[in-house]
Amino acid sequence: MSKDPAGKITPEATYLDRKQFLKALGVAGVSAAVLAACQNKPFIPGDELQPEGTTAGDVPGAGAKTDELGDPLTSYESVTNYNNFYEFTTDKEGVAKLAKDFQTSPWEVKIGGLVENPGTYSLAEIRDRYPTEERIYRLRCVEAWSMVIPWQGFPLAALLDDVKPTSEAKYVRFESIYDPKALPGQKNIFYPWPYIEGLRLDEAYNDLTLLATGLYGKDLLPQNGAPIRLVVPWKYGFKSIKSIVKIDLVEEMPVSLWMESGPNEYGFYANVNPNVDHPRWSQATERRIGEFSRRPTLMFNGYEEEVSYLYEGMDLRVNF
Amino acid sequence: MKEWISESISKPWRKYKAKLASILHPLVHIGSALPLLIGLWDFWQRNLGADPIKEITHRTGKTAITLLILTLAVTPLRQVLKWSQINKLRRPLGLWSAFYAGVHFAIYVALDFGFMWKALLDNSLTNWFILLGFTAGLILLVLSITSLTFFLRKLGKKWKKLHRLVYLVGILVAIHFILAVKPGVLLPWPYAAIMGILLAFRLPPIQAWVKKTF
Repeated sequence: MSKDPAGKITPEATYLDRKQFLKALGVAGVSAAVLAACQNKPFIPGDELQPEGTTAGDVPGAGAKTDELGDPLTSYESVTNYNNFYEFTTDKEGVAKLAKDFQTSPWEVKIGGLVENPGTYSLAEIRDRYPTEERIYRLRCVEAWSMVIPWQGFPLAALLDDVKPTSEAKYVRFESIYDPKALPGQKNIFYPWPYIEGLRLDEAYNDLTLLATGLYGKDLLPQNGAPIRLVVPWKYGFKSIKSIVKIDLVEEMPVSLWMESGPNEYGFYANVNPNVDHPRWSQATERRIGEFSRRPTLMFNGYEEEVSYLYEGMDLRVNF
Repeated sequence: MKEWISESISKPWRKYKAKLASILHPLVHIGSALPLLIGLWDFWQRNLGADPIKEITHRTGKTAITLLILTLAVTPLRQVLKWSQINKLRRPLGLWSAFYAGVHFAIYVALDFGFMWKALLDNSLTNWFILLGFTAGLILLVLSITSLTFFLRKLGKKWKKLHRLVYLVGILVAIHFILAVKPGVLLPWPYAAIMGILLAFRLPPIQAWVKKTF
């Protein structure tokens, strides 16, 4: 721990330089694979830092100890013991204990709405059908803390391709499990349970959007949203809905639990944006769990290149 | 009813309340120092969780508001139990509350924002709950300094008026706490409710009733 916290602050300019430097390194090291990624292949965070000699066929990011910006993974201990999962408790460090005996098997996910191939799938079927890959993503909580987490998951796009949204489908609506006996936090009458989240269809098809079933090479623990959850790394953490039981393709923009609980504080988009403050606190900086000083928050959580096209022409202050 | 209560408790109570107050006096200091000692121990043992700065910010804030509630509970207890000796607990409780509020503020400036002045101002000036907490802290600082016997003598009648500002501090910190959490998080509400009851106790109609009844 530094005795001089002020001395540890990295100015934003240095940050950007470092990012560019690391990118340059990555390009030199992986050459062909990354050049391809710059053109039409979807960008996979983590693969820029693969050591020289690995090929594009390797599992992206596997074994990497940092994200593509060079920042180290958050410890497994912190990732599994510091959780916002209000279905159990609003106390972040109380979730793991309360969730210990939560049964995630058997588990089914019902996929329907405006799709050609609706159906109910067991988790085993989903696991068989969609091989997972590792993705190292930053997770930025709306409360201004963040982590770097190695997820195992598959792109939501793969599942959407199979269920075939009809032409009327504009949004994806996700629903978490509702079972107040197993999830005691759902007895809190101030929230309109179950937890609902949503994505615009093009956001859902973005290659960064992941359905995760594991992290750190292990199956998800209940406190992290077992057995299957969404991970949308350019949005605040609450968009990444946990313990999903239902996915519907819909025409109208879904109203999420947080939009309903605090309409002036939580919008549908909830993109990480250092320039648009939460009504009650600034979003310009964040603390990476495990670090001492705050660091500047990056636009779209550092995924600007991959996602900014989704919001061209939109006023992100209005669509917060 | 009232007679029965006073009959059954007044005798032993009259005998022991002076003694009890003098026992409570050192306990106030020991009890108030405990959260600090536990915090330092947990720091030493690396037992402050994944986000230690958040943890100590919350702990010091909760300790400060708890001690403020105890400070504001002294006068009602004195009036209802006719326990004048308890009055001497008010100053140490208030000063300990101000101490934890000061540590809470110092953590925010020095550790949470590490003296990143631009980010600190950005976060503070645009946020009501920070401004409310800061205002409450400033008032507590003034009240702490003027709690010295020197000022009590010097200010005379004005001292009492000045120190009524503690009621404003109570209101400010209750709102500060409520606004600091997400909607639906219930943690601040018990604190705010007790604070509300203690402040309502000061309202003239309630005071009139209390003076008549007890």
